[in-house]
Amino acid sequence: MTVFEPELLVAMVVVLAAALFMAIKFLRIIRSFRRSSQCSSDCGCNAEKK
Amino acid sequence: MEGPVALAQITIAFAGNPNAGKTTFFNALTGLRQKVANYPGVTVERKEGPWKISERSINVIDLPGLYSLDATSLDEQIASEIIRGVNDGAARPDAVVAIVDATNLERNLFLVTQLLELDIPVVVALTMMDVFESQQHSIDLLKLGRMLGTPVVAVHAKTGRGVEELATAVETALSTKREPLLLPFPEGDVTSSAIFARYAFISDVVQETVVHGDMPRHRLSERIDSVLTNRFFGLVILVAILLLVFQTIFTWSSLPMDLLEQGFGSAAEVVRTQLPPGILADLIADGIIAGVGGVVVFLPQILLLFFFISILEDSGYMARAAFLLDKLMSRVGLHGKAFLPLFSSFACAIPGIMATRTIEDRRDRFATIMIAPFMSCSARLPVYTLMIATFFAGQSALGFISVGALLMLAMYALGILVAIAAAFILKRTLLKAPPPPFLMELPPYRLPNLRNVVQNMITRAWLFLKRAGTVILAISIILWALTYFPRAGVTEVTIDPAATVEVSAAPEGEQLRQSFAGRLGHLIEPIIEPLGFDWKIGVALIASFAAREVLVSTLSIIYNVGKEDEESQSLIEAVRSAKRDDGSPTWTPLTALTLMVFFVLAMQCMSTLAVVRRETNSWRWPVFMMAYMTALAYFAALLTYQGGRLLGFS
Repeated sequence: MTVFEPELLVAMVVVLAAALFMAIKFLRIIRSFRRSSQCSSDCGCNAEKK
Repeated sequence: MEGPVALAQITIAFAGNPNAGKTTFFNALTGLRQKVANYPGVTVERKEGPWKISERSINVIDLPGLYSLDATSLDEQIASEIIRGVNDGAARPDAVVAIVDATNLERNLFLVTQLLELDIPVVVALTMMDVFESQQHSIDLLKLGRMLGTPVVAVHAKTGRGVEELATAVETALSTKREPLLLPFPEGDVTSSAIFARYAFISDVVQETVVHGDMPRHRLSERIDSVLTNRFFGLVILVAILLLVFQTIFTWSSLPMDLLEQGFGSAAEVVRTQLPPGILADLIADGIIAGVGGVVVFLPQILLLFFFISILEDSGYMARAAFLLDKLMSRVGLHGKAFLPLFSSFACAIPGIMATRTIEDRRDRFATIMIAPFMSCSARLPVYTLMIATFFAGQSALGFISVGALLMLAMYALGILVAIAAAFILKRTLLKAPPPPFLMELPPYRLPNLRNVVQNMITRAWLFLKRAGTVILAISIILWALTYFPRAGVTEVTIDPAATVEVSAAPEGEQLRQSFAGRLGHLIEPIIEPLGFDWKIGVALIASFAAREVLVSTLSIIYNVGKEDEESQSLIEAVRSAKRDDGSPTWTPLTALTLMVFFVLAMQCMSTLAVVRRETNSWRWPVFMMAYMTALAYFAALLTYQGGRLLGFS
């Protein structure tokens, strides 16, 4: 059985948290793409549409 | 339009430049009785309300603001169509009240001259007269009216000044026939020569009717402009100012940067002494402190850069620089309005790309978006600075110009020149369209507002630190893990014998070499070798595609992880002393220059690509941007390195 040292465990948690943070950031970007695709390309600007 | 007209059936339109005080005056006249709706089929607001003239009510429409009748944006187009009587959803008004901002008379009269060419009664209402008069200026309204051939009335929304006179002037204009204004150029001609001819007429009118109270100041401003916007001297002064700015940034920032670097070095030492040797101490010292600290030490430079940008902007000089570059930009087919988005991109391409929304034509807008990331953003600054500080510090040209400042200026100039060349090609191929005419107003010179300057610096510093504390921190940790695992001892048996020999020849790099990051670096090494980059730079290059400044963090982590002894050294020293597998130095001044050229041109920002996708509403454009910019960066870097070697540089 593999025994994890507490130090290694803490380091792994920190690395995983960082990876999770970047994954969420990446997903947010993907989601923002989806939202914008609802707008016609002719409008020129999504935010300015009233 | 002959004979008296029944006022009850009358509709008059308020037309004028944006921010001329049109809506304020409209609101004062119609009060709460106005109706707001949309013009048919569009989202442009239609405002109308009743105005009492001689105890009778007439209908007033507040048209969207427009600079000229040759409008391109939707708002301006609707206003222009209504005035010319060609809008399907709204009838032509019986008269137009041209709302003119007295403090911007020349620009506002441009539209008035166009209105006067039409066969429609026009009355000119001068707003902002209180500001105009407070500047000790005066205007001969009768003479102005005579020269324009239409009544001119000074009005004030708040005090009700001139409202009665305006009502009388409108009644008179409705019942008398006015001869359309004839200017010496073909009707409807929107070319530059027509614009200049129109302005020549306006200039005569203003000279004849306006007396400037602060003429000496006005003349001084014009004299300064004649030098600063001169095609030759203007450019020389612009280059000199930028050189001085960069040189000052380097000089002033060196002490705080050294202090910050020492601070992070001490923090790493404290971690090493307080924590037992092991993975946690390595993560904090080599990953977090080296990664984040490596970027944060550049904070003084970022602060100084924005200090100077704010001063140049606030003093009115930036508008002169825009005017100089606008000539060049219009020659390659870029819209004049592209300057502001491109200028914003020096801070960050994202707000720059979003600012392109002011450009009406889709092709002009996309061309600007496609070149905005060539402007050297603040994320590139740490990379340029690291390379310059490591290899070119203390060198000077002609005895007084720092080579570092020259190189920095060269990097900014390279970005601008490549952007202009790219725009030239794009506007003649994929995004073919003639550039529309554009008028630029030069604001008066003034002393920079210290509060604005400090506010801008704080905002930028906060953004920089926020990014360092989130994205850079996360990427640093991930990168550290990629350089730390798998551990060398564990996988030693799996390495082939030839590599083991090589590993033992360079023990410091053993862990890095067989880590995940090291393997990735080796994978791309054949591609980047012609650029003079080794696999360690390759790892940093891959990481910097997430965000440019990550290159600095990655080098900081790589050179710290790679060290056998636990003593931290400054990144500059580490870069200088880095060795390739054959013992030759990894970095030379030529490698540093090549890397800088690569960074000027490469598309290494995920967030920018995301914004391009959102603003163009297509995957095609961000993919195209990534492909053409990266290819361009590669070939320019190849040319720099191989060309440099051919010329005898190492």
